[in-house]
Amino acid sequence: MKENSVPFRVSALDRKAEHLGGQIEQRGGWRVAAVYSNPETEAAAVREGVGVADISPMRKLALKGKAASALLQETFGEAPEKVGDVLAVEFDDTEVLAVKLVSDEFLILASPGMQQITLEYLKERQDGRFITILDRTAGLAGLVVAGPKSNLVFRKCCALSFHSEDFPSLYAAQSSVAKVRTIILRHDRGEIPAFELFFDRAYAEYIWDALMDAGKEFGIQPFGWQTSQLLKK
Amino acid sequence: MKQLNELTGVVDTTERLTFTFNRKKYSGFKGDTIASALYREGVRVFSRSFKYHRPRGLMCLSGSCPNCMVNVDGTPNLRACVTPLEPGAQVTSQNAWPSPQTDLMGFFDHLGSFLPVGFYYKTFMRPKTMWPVYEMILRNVAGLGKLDPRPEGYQEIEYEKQYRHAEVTVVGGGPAGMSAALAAAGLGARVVLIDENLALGGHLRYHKGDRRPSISPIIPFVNGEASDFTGLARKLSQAVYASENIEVLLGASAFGWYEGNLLGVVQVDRLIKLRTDQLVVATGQMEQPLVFENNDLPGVFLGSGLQRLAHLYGVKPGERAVVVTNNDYGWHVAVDLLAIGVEVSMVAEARRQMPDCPAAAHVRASGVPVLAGYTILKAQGKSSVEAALLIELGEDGAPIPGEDTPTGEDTPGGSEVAVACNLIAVSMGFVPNNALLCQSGAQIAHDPSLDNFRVSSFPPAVLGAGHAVATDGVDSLVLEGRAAGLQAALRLERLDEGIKRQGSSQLIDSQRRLDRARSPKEHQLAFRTLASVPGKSRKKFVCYCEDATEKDLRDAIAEGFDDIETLKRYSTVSMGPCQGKMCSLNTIRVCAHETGRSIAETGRTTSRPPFVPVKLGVLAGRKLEPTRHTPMHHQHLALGAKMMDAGQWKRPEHYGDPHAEVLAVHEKVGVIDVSTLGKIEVFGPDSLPFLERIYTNRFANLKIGRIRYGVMCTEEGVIFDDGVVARLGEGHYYLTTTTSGIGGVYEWLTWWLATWRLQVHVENVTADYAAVNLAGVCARETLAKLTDLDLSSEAFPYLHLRQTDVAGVPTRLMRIGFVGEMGYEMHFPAPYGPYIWQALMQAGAEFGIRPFGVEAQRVLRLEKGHIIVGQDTDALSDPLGAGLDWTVKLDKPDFIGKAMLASRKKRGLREMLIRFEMINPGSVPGEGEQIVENGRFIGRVTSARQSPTLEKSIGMGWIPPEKAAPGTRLQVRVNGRQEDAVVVAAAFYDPDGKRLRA
Repeated sequence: MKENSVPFRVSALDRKAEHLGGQIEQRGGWRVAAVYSNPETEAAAVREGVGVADISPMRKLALKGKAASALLQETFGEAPEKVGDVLAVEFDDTEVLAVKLVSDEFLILASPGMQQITLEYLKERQDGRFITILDRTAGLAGLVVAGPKSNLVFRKCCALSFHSEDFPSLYAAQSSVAKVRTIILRHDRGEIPAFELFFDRAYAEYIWDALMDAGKEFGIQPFGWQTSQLLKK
Repeated sequence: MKQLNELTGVVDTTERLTFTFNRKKYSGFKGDTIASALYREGVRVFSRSFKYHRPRGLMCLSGSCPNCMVNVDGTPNLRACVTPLEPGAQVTSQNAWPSPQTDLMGFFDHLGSFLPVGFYYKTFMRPKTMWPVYEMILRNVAGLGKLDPRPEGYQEIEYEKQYRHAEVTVVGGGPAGMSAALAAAGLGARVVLIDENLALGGHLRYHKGDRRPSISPIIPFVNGEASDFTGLARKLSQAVYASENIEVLLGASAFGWYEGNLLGVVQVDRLIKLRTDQLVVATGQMEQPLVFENNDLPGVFLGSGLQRLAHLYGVKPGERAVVVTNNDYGWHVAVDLLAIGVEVSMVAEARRQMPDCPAAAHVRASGVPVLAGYTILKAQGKSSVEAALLIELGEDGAPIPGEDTPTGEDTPGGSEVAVACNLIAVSMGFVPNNALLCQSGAQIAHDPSLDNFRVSSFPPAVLGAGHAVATDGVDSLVLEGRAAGLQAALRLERLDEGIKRQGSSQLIDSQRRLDRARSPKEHQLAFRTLASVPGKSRKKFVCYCEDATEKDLRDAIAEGFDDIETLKRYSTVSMGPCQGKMCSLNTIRVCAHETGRSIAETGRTTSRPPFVPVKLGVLAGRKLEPTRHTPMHHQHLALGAKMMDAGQWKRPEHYGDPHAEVLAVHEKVGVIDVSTLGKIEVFGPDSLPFLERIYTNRFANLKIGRIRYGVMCTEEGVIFDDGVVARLGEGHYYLTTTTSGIGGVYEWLTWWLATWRLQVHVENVTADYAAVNLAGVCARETLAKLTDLDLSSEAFPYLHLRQTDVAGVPTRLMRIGFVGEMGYEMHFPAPYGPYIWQALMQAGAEFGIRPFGVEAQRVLRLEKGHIIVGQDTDALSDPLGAGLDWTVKLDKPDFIGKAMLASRKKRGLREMLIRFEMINPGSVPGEGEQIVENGRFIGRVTSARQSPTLEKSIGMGWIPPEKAAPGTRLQVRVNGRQEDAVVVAAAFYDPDGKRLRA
């Protein structure tokens, strides 16, 4: 590199965040919206209604292969058993999720700054087995829709049942959201229902608009990573 | 008025709403429907009929008949009787000009003899040339309202689609439905309760009954006694709303039951797709009209219609009424009319023996004259009812003619009685509203004791209760609803054993009580079947929607359409907006009578969704058209790009001057966003044999770090897609596809992979990588500012790949040249897209870098003679004819399409893709234009552009091989003219590829 500049990564929703007045910050090499109004207000809106946040920077590692389950077991001590199961594991006080998408495909989700669970870390443990491990962080955009009214938003754009009995926390499914194939993972923030969506990043602005439109009548609000931190507490 | 409103509690007389009807100002109250408000204001004629333009007024007040269809704020065919009044609504009548009261097309009513059933199948056929004229006239004369796409004050309707899920869905919010919902919810089931009205209660809201319901003490969810039907409705609905497990959808109509337990529900402008484990149908019943002369005259009401008008909206429907009935319900209607101050001039009871019910006793005690064994022969009046002509019925049900009147004549005679009135209440019995049950596959059989249809068996996951299954009596309705709700909940697998035991015990109790409640019934079932009053008049309407009369049905049957299904299709009866709600039973009865068959033998027509009208906009739902943006999308917009659609993608077509963009690439350096290219990674030890079978090319000799152009064909040898294949490592390849082809190619690869069972993984990484093509004489210098890699042609030659950092970003650099100049296709993680674009623009600034769009790319590749799959090829194009024969390796063991290509090569080509230039350099043929010889079609143009580089008009097209020799003169149609062109041997630009490989 001859030119003197620092590469930065941009979520597909960067312009949306800017347009909505999000305060953009650099975190872990990504431009992310820290907050739109203030974290307390945004958190209150999420707790009472529904909010949406961009979680595209989350690390997403895809594993494919018959031996993928064994690799996960070796790495985490266990692996999700059934399709849709989500395993939550703590690594240095940071949560890592492993999702079983189909019989021999898994998705690992970790925070962007997670040091342990990396592409290289998993490849080192591949041990000659035919497992394809890909970092899909770049290709999959991520959104979280959180709040007690989130199921009402999904009613308008997804054919799945989002009722707690049908779709409990730490459960995942693949379905169409606003006609776009999406991995949907329920990962509640305490008592607050929260659904994480992962989909082809090229659709990100379209999906954002579709969710905002569907959530208009429920007062859907965007929230930033600072609010996400608050909601985790 | 005050007294009437106190009866209802529905209309809020303190809030007055104004609206217009046919541009005239009216007012109503909050809670009114358009019909109730207009009727209160004195409007009696709401529309004109479909065929004869007869005046039509309110009849059912339940949205079942078509008589009050109006246009509201630009939306046609809304039934005024169930459309809530909104302030400022602009309501217009339909199918009438200049007004429904005075419709100039009303003369059609006198042309009945010339418009027999099925006349449209037999007329307007000759001469053929006149059909457009006939069509124009028919469209103006007949119809069901007109759709004005942009009416005055037009506002786009926001349609919506919702998905919902329930364990038990109950359709119908009457006593049976509410009880079912409460019972199921009581066992913990998640219940959705749907009702088409804006309040729960069903018929209890407007039908008062004649005794206190006895049910309340035995229903655990109703506290205390209910003093009357309204009180019971209130208590049940309070319990429903208090239940956390019940979600109530009001103003919602279930219109169809589909595979997979999917219930279609329409709620105003919202479509709800409701998946349910169990369905309980408690949709009630529909009162049926009587077929007699002028039975469509405004002022002729169904008895329940009058009850609704009075009790729900507080409207006094008229001054003097005649009640025509054959069952106890009609006597309740008479009681209600008396209660609101209507003078009941006569009750014509078809039964010869007076019924022994409290309502009848009350009416007689009130001094109302009664004619037993009588019914109505004719409604008299011009545009509204002025009198009812009653006639005595014999033992056989036929009218007894007067001494001076021949049988069947419609003039008063000895047994006829004319009674002056402005209101005729017809109450001749009900038919179960069992359309959903029929659609679900329930077996429906005719019960002669009821002269009605009832369910003989239910399909799995479906139950029925109440009037919908021909049960009567309020106690029975509640108990049967409760039993159905319990049964539905008990079928749920997730209920634990304790709950199931509790539910089973409740179910046994409910059924025991139901058996007791059923006998004696609250209403006597004694009635006198009477669907049609004999007489020769043409104006005895069976189907109000299609203006089909009893005579029409008789004529159709006489013509041979004597099966109920063919009769329906020929006469169109039951095929109008009401979908048989008002005419189905009477049609069956007429058919049975005319054919001498029983009702059971006659059968019924198939019930299909939608049972209620559903707007196409509702079915379409919200506009959800997925759109894809590349990571650099907003930078293109900032540069002034004119965007175009490329499938779901938005791409820059150009940035203002495509020709300048072309020249910039040739003379300086240009950059184009090619992130839309399909990108696939192939992993695994069997990757090579996999690719060898997929592509026509050979890849066995492709070394790591090398790139090769590849073509995929179908089994028929037709070009499927193309792109490059780069070998990244052992058992690891990177493929590109066309923008539009990626979806199909990915499916194709995974499908074949599953067939061949190779150790290969295929990943679609299109969204993971952004891509740009940096091309032009200064491309190398530009890129050199951003990478330490040796970019010299020797170190990094054409058709090679390097994985390196560009501006600090890990990048796959490919030396390929679709646009015909030396260049680099750079693929890098998508989130760096804006950063890399910015870095390239900055690095290239000193060389005059210019972004170029799809239009410039198309010109550049055409100059170079590169094809675009899908543009220059079609469903018959093979690589041999497309000039890609060098990619077809028939000596490979096998690949998809090999057999067909080998055969085609042996047989010879049918056509070839050639490059041509126009003799007139300013003449550019359109894509798809014909290539002709002596005026005859011999081929077609696939691409053509004006080349600013060559200052020529150039193109490609398919022609027969014998015409494809270089230098051959062709004629191409350009804007209707034939212009000369000449076949060109090779690429128009840089034919030997020196610039590309530089």
